[in-house]
Amino acid sequence: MPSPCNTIRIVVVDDDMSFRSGLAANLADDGHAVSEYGYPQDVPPDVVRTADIVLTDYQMAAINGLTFADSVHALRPQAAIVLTTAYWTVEIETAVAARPFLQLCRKPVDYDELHQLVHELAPN
Amino acid sequence: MLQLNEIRWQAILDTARDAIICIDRAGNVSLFNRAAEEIFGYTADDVIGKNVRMLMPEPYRAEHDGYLSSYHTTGVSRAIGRIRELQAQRKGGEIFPIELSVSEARAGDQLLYSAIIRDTSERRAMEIDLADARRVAEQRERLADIGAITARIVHDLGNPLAGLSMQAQLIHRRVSRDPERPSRDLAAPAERIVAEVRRLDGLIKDFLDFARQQRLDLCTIELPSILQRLWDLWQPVAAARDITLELAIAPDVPPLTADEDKLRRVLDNLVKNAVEAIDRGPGRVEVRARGIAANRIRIDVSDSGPGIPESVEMFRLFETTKRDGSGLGLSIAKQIVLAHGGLIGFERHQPHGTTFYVELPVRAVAV
Repeated sequence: MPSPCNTIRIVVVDDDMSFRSGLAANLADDGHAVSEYGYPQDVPPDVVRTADIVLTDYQMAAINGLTFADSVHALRPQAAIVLTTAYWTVEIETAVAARPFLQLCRKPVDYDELHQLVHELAPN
Repeated sequence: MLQLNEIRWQAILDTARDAIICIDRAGNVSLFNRAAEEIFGYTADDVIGKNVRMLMPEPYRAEHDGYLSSYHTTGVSRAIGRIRELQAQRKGGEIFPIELSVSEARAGDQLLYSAIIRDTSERRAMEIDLADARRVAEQRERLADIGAITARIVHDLGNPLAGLSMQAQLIHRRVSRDPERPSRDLAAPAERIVAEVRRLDGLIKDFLDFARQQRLDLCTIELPSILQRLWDLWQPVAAARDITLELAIAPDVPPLTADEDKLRRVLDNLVKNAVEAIDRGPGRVEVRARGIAANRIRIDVSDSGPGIPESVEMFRLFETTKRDGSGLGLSIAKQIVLAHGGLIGFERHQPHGTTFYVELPVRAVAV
């Protein structure tokens, strides 16, 4: 478990409550500071401005994950962003490839792999 | 005068677009007009005096003498006085579709049969092209539907599976990390797993309902009692949300022949949607039933909710205005109503509010 000074600030955005709460609980169990939101429009800008990593679903009502990722990147360029999706298409892969600040993670997510990715993406 | 009549007849024969052929009692050709020459590829000289069988493919060719003989004996004809769709054969051997009408005439003591033959090759080719085009269009539509349904299944089932997996991994990690961990830390993820399984089960049932052809189990039903039970079911839910649920049934609503379970499902879906459209009151949902013209009844479900945006096509597969909606409810409702020979639609109200309506024949016919 990381020490408090190494705490990674993670924002989880997903309209699927079960996945979101499970992921947030796993991350919190690992000692990270996690805040979770159902929809991108619910995330306060101040939370984004202090985030180290943003984990967001792709397919959400009103704003999709790519649009949200772009707005997060504009607000907090140093934050790493992970896009999770259960529906994997060439269009999504192409859009992600065009955004170097974005990682793609397929659902169902293997938490151990995600945990490793979080540590790779975390600021030193 | 006689000469003038002959000129007229010749003009008719020469300008007719259909083949006109006369044969005698033995089946030998005595008249072969210009259109017949164009259609069959023979000149009149090639054909006149020869048996008409030469213009027929098998099996008509082998059977024609028998037809004539049978008619002469019994007086019963399969051809005279009606238009039949058959096949003929051109000079080059090509077999083509025709419409044939045959009539019988007497010139003095001589028996004559005259046939008008229309070459329907072009029309048949167009019909086949049209049927092919329709089949291709239907196939494309089906493939598009399959594509949309597959994408939706992947998404709608993938998300609950991802949730299930994440909750299960949470339990597993907590137990692995601390086998003595209090069970209350495991209760919440376990409950979510159960809820997700229930959600998946509901989704699968919705998909199955949509995929299944809407075969009707028809019986005579009393609409007022169905609507009353619907009101009893939804009134407490509506009241808890500060929504007034009103029911008005006109006395002219007759008993219906319909599938009770399926009709109940349609109406339940409309009332549920109306209540959920308002979400929190104060608001009003009105359910009205009345007879309309031509042995049909109409049921309106109106709500005072925010209304449906112009961009939303409510009956399109997977279309929904709800955050957690599957977009299948109204598609299923539409299938059921159409299977009854009815129609379903909605009207937007200004400044807000919506009425969904269902029109049904008093007697549905099972398909």
